[in-house]
Amino acid sequence: MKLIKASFFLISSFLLCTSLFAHHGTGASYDGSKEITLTGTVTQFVWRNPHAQLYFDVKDESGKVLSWSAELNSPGILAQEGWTRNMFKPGDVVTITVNPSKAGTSAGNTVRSKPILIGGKEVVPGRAGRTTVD
Amino acid sequence: MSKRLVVFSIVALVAILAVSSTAFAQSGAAKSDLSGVFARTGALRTLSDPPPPMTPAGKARYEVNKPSYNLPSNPRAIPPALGNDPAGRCDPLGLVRSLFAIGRQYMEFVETPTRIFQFFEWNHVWRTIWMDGRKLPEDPDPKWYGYSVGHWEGDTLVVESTGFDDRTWLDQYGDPFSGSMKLEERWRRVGDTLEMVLKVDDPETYTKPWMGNKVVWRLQPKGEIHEEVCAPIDENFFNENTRNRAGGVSK
Repeated sequence: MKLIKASFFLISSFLLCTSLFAHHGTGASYDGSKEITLTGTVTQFVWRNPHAQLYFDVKDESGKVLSWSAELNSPGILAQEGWTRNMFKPGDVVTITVNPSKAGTSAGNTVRSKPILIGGKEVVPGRAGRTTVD
Repeated sequence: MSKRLVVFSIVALVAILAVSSTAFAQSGAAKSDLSGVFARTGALRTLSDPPPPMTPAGKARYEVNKPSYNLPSNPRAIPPALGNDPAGRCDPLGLVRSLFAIGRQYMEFVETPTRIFQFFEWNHVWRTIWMDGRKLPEDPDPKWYGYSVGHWEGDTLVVESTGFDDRTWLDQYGDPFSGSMKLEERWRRVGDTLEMVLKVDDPETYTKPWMGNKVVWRLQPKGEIHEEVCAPIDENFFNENTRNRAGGVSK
C-alpha cells in the first residue's frame, strides 16, 4: 500500500513538474525546479517585445560584480497588470526571484508568484497562477 | 378573393423570397456575424495532438525544425538560443500559426463588399479572404499568408487557401508543411463565440488530411488590437542580451 501511495505521489509530482516548465518557448532555457532570489542594482529596464527584460548588477561576497538578466512577460501583458515602462530606473536596488538558466549563466526567468522589491519595498506583489513568465 | 389580390400576393411573396435569398444561403440559416474582437481559447496551439503520420519528406523537415515548445504527445523543446524557430528572427509566422496565437493576442474580422480582412494582433499582420466568387489561382506565387477565397454555407464561412510559402512552420511545435498545402477553415458564430475548424490537406507532408479540433474564440467586448510588431532590432537585442545568455551561447 505504501509503495502504491509513494508511486502515485512520484508520478503526480512529475506530471506537475512537466506542466510547469517549457509551456512557453522561453521556458525551455530555464530550470523551473530551482528558484534563486537576487538583489542588485538596475542598469537597464527594457520595456519592449518580445519580452520585457530587467538587467541588474549583483555583487558577490568577494565584491565581484556579475551582470544578470531577468526575463519578464511581454509589455502588453505587463501593462494589463498595471506595469509601466517607468517601473524600474537605473540605480534602483531591486530584489527579484528567478528560475536560473539550465546553462548556469547569469540569466533567469522571473518567478511571478514572488514579489519584486525596490529598495526593500514591495513594488510588485506575487501573483497567483503561472509561476513563471508566460 | 379577387384575381388582383392573388396576383399581388404571389408577386409580393416572390419579392420577399428574392430579397431574403441574398441574406440566407442554401441551408436557410443566416450568415454569421463575424464582427468583434476575439481571443482564442484552449491550450493546444495546433490542429490536434498528435498530427497525422508524416511522409518521409515530411519527417525530414520535421527533424530540421528545432522548436522550444513542447507538443504534449512528443515533447522535444530545447532552449530557443539552440533552436531555429523563425519567430526568433521575426520571420513571418504564416497563416496557420497566426490562427493559434495566445489568447491575449486578439483577432478581428473586418468585412467589405468584396472581401473579408482578418487582423491578427500578434505580429501586427492581416490577410485577405476574397468573397467575390473568384476561384483559387491555379499556380500562385508562394505567399507567407497564402491566397484565400471564401463563401457562405448557411451560417458557416468556408475559406479555402493555397499558395503558401513553406519557409515557416505550421505551428510552434515545429510541425512542417509544404507549398502544396491546401487549408480549409470553417467559421461560425455561436453566441459570444466564434467556432473555428481547420483542415490541412498536404499529401507531400502528411499521409492523410489533418482534421483540426474545434477551436473556440471568445468575444472581448472591451478588446482592442494594439500594435505588436516583431521588430528585428528588438528581437536581436533580446537574443543577444538575454536569450543567448540563458541558452549558454555567447554573443
